[in-house]
Amino acid sequence: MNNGLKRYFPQKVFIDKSVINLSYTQEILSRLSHIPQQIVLSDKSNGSIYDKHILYLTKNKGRFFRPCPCTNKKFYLSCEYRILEVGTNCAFDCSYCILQSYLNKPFIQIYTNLKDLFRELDNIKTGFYRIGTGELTDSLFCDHITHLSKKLVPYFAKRDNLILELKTKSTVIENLSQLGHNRHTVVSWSLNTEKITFQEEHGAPNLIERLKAAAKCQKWGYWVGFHFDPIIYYPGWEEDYKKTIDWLFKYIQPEGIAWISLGSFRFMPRLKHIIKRRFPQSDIIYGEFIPAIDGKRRYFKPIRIHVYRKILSWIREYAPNVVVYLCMELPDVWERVFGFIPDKGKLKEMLDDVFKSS
Amino acid sequence: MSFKIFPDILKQIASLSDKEREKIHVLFTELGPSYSLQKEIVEYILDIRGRDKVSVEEIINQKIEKTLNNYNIPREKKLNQIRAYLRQVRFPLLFTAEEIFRSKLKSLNLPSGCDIIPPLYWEDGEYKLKLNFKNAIEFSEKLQQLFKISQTKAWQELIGEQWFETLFSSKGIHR
Repeated sequence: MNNGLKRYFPQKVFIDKSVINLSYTQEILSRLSHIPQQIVLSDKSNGSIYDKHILYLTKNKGRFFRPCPCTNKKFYLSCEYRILEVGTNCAFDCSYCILQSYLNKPFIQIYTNLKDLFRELDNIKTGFYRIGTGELTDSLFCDHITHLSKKLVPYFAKRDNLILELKTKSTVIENLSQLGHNRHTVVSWSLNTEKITFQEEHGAPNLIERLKAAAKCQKWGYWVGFHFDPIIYYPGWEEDYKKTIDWLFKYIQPEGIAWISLGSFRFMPRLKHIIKRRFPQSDIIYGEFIPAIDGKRRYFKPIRIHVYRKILSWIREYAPNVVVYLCMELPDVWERVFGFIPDKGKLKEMLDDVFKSS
Repeated sequence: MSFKIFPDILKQIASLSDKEREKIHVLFTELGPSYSLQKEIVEYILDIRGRDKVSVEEIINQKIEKTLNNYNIPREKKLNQIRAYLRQVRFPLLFTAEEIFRSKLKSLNLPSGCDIIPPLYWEDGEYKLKLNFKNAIEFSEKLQQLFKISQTKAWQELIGEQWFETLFSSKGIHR
């Protein structure tokens, strides 16, 4: 890992009193017996702690399973993804992370009321869903502590209409090695250039480490996925992203890739001030960002089209048939990049078909 | 002239050096911008400073000084010119796109009193047509001219945004 974080361990564990007797809470605590622990009342935790060294075991009082809070679907194409909210925040400190402006509890939370989680999943009787745990946290960064993958992967293996995506930047994959996954789990990595990884993704494994972890998962028979998101446009971006793609296909067989997504850097305006304050050396906020229809700041459209087209062409040189899609983009951007606009529901179908045809 | 720099603007420039703050103070004293314009101008300056790793003195350069010290230009006009210049430096690609669009539109020879307004930042996808006419005959004539123009390759390329790619052939535009 480039900035020294090898394996995340908290310096202190807070336990919400309401979950102390749950077996999963106790299971996690047994792996953290060497770390100071403190029982707290759930309502005492709000906003008073701003520290990633604290791990907070608590209850998800809302829903675990819900639609991805994708951007304004009236204008931007949605892939109709579903999220499984197993926790919030992660140990890495990426300058661009949107969670900095979304979450009011910036310490790391893990929800331990897993019975409720599986009850919700059991209730999904119809439909076909791609479900990810990596939307509000990193799916695997603390799997050595939670062993959540050991519970989720075998469960999804038995479900014919549910696909699990574990989205990560980490290399914590050991637990996956022996699991029966039935090709119903995609392990995916967020990729960027070496420069962005080094300068902006503080504490996260470097590119090669991620790709080596992905190659292992591919060897274990898992589908793998890759997300070029956020793509940052900077002097030298072309050479750098090309190099990342060359590396990707040096380690990974195209046939085992479920999907590759492309998404350019976008953010709510308040994130700019947070990045300026927390990461004064970062210059990613100084690109040509314009106010977009959804209130976010996005790169001026010609930049997005230009970058997507280039990256797509480099991917196609290695993998002409791999499913590539754009995350939260305008229909006319799709048309300019791919030459077509998916009709409503077609993007979901395109991604679901990866599993139906295999 | 009664003039002040608003407290949250002062907060934004608080981390600058004394000399840099002084430069902004002089600029604002001379131009007397409203709160929203102060906010906009300071954002341009701070973004350019962060992006190009230059000082405020280098941003408020000879070109701005020249406009500022030209007593033949009214204050409002100076403000607009300086604001436009800073926007151009902050958003070179957007500025180039606006220039290309205007130039290509001009070469189409639209009927008089007719204008095409591109989508805001080319983001929301809707172009607008503005058409002035005096009577039914003129209306009809202008529509016919517009129809002819709409059949040309130049029009298709302009509205099809195929010229976007040419933006990247300009050397030095990276961001």
